[in-house]
Amino acid sequence: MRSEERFEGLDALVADRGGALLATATLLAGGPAAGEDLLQAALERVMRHWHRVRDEPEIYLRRTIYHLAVDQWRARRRRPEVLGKTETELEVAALRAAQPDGTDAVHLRLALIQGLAQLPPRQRAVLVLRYWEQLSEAEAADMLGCSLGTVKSSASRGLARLREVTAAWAVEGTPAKKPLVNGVWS
Amino acid sequence: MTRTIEDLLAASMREEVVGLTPAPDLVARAARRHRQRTRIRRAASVTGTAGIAAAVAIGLTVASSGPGAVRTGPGAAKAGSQAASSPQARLVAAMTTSAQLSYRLHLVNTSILPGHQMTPTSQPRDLINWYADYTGVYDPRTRSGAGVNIMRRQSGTGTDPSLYGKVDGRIQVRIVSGNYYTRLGNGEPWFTGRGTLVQALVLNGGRAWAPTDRASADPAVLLAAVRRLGSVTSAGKSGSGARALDTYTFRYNIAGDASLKPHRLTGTIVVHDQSDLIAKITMQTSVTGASPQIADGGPLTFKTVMTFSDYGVPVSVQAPAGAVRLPGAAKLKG
Repeated sequence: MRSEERFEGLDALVADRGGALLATATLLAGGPAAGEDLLQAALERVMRHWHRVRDEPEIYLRRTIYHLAVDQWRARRRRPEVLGKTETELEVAALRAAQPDGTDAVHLRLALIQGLAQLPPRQRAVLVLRYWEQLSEAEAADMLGCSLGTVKSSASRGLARLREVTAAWAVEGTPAKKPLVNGVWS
Repeated sequence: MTRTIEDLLAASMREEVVGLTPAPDLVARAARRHRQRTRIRRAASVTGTAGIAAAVAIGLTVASSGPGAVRTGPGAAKAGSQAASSPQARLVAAMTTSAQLSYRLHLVNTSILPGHQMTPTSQPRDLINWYADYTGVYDPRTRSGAGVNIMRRQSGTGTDPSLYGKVDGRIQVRIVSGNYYTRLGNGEPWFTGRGTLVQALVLNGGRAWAPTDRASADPAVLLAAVRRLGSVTSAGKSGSGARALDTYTFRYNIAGDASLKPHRLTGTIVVHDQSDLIAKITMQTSVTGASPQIADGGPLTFKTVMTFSDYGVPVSVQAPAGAVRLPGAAKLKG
């Protein structure tokens, strides 16, 4: 196939690392479908600059995913998919969260992921870099092409927002039945 | 046990994306989109048509957000995604690309008038089946082309040739800068008028048949009509490899006038999957007269099939001298 001949190694890269790349794109874009769109857009960008990036396509691809997520995706002002969960599912989850039972952990995860998807793109990107990719603040700043201070403030605001959106749930439904204190559940 | 929100967030992320795998054709899709954009940029550069890229971009935006937007493929049921690869967007790109190249065109137009009745008091006439078979070349950039059109009355009895012109004929056709020229054969006089290639092939005494309104052998013109008036849906893919084809269906409504009731034109557009060039356009409609004074016994049905091939074929056509001018009907291209 022509694409395989021209973009040698790209198919192999996606076959080998596609799952991780799609996972990153999914967390950034707010859902699996939007994530696949984001990954495809990044691949198109890589193809456009193939002559420059073919030696290290994964690095460029990952960087492009983040940059598109922060810039282009933000420009579209698209409502996130809330990671594939329907609103009804989320409503049910929210209701159940108010009634502690054996699925508390699932409800907390839903609340966190929903909160993540509703963050501004840069805050979301910083949190994904820090807590999904496990990068340092300096590495995250390098990936996004911004200052260390921007990463710190974005992370701080993003985490603060997540604490807010999960606070009510945490009070009523944390497994340990203890309130949130200084960002720590016990 | 104490867990920070950072730990919980990291764990939630891991659980949320576990098992995700990209679609098997993701790279191929990206490559196709990449090639499509490259071709459009090159076409715009070569022709100097600065507006093409912008027009396509607008088309992509409009197509992805319009009420007729349809979603297909792996992301079909996923809200808000795949906007840039909607059927409309892909079709806009394919038709825009095709309109930048010359091509060989085979056009077959069939007109069926079942139980044709000229007036409410006249005797119904038998079924008449007209058939026009045109083979030629056309370049939408210069709005020029040439070919031969074979017109036949395939069936029917009791027709009055004076009502319909020549019953059978092998008609030479040229299109030069939006003017058509026709003659019945070598040594016969040329007649000319202002109109589209499609209209030149199915003229009704110099006036285009209503169903050919906005019908054009120029994909860009037809595309404009579809985008302005109609809707597009994807009908899926057939074949594989170099022979893979994407099929789209479209429809738009044509307003009635003093002589015809409102009617709907429907059709299909088949696009080569790999090259994103149009392979075939089929369109049909059925019209009924609006005036009881010229009421037909049944609807008049038209079907036009255009097959495109040999993209890039050289086209060099000159206007014949001494052509007799006929009343023109259209201001459209192609």
